[in-house]
Amino acid sequence: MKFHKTFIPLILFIAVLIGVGFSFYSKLVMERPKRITIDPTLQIDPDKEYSITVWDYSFPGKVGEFSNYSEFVAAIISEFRGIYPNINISFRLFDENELKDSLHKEEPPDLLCAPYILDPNENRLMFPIGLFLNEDEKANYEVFPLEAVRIDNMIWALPRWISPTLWLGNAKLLRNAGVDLEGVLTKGWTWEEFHNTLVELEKKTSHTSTQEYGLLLPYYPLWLFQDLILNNGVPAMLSTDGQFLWDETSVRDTARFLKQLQETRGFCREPEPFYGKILHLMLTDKIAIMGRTNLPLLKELANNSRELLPLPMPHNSVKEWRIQTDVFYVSLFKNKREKGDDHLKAAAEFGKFLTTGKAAALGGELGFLSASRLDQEAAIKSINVSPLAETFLYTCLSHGITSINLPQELQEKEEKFTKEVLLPAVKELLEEKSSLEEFTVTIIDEGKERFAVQEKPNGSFGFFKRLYERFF
Amino acid sequence: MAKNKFLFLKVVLSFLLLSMILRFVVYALEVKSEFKVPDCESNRILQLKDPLMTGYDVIELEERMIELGVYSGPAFGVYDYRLAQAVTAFQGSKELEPNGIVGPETWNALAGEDSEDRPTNAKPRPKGKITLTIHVNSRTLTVYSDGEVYKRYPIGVGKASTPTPIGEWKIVHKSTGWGGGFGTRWLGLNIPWGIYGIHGTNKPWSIGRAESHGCIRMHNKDVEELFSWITVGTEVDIIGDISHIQVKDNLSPGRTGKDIVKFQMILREAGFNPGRADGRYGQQTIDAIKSLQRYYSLPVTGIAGPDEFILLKLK
Repeated sequence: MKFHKTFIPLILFIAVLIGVGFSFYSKLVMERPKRITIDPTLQIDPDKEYSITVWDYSFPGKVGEFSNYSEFVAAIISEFRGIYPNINISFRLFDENELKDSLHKEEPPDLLCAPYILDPNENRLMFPIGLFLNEDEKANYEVFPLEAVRIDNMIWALPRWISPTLWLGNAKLLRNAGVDLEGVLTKGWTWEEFHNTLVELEKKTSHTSTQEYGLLLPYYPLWLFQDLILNNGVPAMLSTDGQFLWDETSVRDTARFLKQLQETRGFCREPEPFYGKILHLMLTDKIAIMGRTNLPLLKELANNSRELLPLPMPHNSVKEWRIQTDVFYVSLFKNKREKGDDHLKAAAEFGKFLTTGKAAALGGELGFLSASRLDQEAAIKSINVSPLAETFLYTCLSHGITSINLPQELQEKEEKFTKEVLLPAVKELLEEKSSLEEFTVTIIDEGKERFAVQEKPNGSFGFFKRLYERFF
Repeated sequence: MAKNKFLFLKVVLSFLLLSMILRFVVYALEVKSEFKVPDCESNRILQLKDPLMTGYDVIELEERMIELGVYSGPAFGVYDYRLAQAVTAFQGSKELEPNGIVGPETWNALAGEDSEDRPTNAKPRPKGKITLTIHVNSRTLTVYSDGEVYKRYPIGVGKASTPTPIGEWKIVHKSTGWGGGFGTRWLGLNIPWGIYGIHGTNKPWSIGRAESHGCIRMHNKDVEELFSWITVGTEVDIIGDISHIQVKDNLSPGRTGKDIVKFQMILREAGFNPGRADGRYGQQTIDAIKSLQRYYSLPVTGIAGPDEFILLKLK
């Protein structure tokens, strides 16, 4: 048979069709995470011995009646064994290198307790612990930390403790400046209200020297920029898939407000001379607001003064008001030497035990909120702060957000961007070496160059993807 | 040309020789400083002199003589005419040359029944890893082998005005033959503010008491046994009361002292591990402070200032 030239376009068309079809299949079907299921009737065998390994972070100091964290966990284990005598728990504190090694060797612990979760797509031994929760159990956890670890509609970790990022305020000085503290602690404060507060504080203390009476003391102006932009409609710089989330408007507005704050006398541009005596100055009524800090610090200082209060970071609109939190999670791993689903269930039972009841409530002793709703009140009571401060802790739960850990590569990129671009740019802005526009252009252009930019899927692939998302 | 070539060679060789000599001198000086005489004992001969001899060794002599009933006191720590007379009388009663000069023979005579021949219940070298713990209050030195008690010795410790340094130390030096107040063996500790160690004694009556200048005294037979068991690097924990030690001012890397020992212990109790409480504000202490600062979201400097003191309840 003679090959006819008119077949060439036809062959090319078929080849393109096969290519597009294959890439569509590989993108949307092959990469699709497998649906993981577990037998709902699965039971822990009471006649079988289970050995569960648990790795945990170390926390300093006493935990209630226990002299250290390990003793506290030992008591929790002993209580658990009272219910499940056939589940042996081997507990140890770990460091990051050990975890890396164990993951590399595919020998992770059964349960990992850490202030993050690993990426389930990169750690194939991770198992969605949520499969072992019934609806009532799910409903007992605070919504935002649980939703943060819902990936492909599966819950990959159990939230244990919540640590909100906050500022610290001197109630006496703030009241003197006419601040409605109850209002701020329950409804937050806008950038404008916050700025007015600084102006008022400035008036009250005009007779003193700035050096002695810093009203706002962020450790680094850079942090202040980050804190402000977080409450300006963009909860993070990067999404977990590496998209650069900051836009021109939010960067420019935040920078403008930072400049506005700088013009008030209370803005401390060079905090280094105060290093080592910031708390001392707070406690002696020399500083009205300091940031960024955490609840363990407030708990520690509560004995020194009941006049210290946690404060939310100011926001640009009530709608966008969010309180950033770090969440400690418990995640479950399979063993490469398959031990059976009942083994996973036994480990998950201990995971539930660690994140509810006494174990959850005692987080308060370390200065953390409980992620278990039933144990929240007990946890907040044991943080032992003033009633006014307590109201804010409940506010943290209703306005809290958290984001799961970025993959290692993105974390490094983000850190590099912060160090090489953001920090010098903020410095130049505050030193008036660059204008607001130059600052904005630098941040946005560098961000676009270094990271992917969020775009809506378009073209034929976008059409197929949208089609797929609609039907599957 | 050839002459010039040799000249160059001579210059190079002379330079090398000179640097070798200099290196040797520096080494010799280092070695000498390592073998500096400890602060805790004195091997000097006591006698009537102008000006009069004073010191803690004189007080020890006076106290021992008061105890033996051969001197009526008081113990002022001055070797004066009255003391010399009492020493001469004592020497006469012990068939020593009555010259009022207190040397090894007189000290041995003062030991009397607290002689060196006391039985030690000798034991073989323990098989496990050896660590030592000294309890200042109960005046005992305990040898641990792999964490298990192996043997316990009575010791003498520093008096209230010259206390035995509390802390977590290491043996850094072993030597023999110092004699006199140091007995038959010397085990030097790495205490940064003075030269202290565990040693034998020619004042065996002081074992079980707080009479030394800070060192740990043992019976010679005991220290000989211990000496044969342990190596340089053995850990020695000295436990005692540190409540009286004031931790003040800003503490910064590089500092050494008793207050650093206390600070390290408090840091550890608060859950931030500075390693061994060795009185040195070194890298591990810096790291522990940094952990504390990170945990409480404070600026991470590694320097302990008023804020860190507030958090550690030192203020």
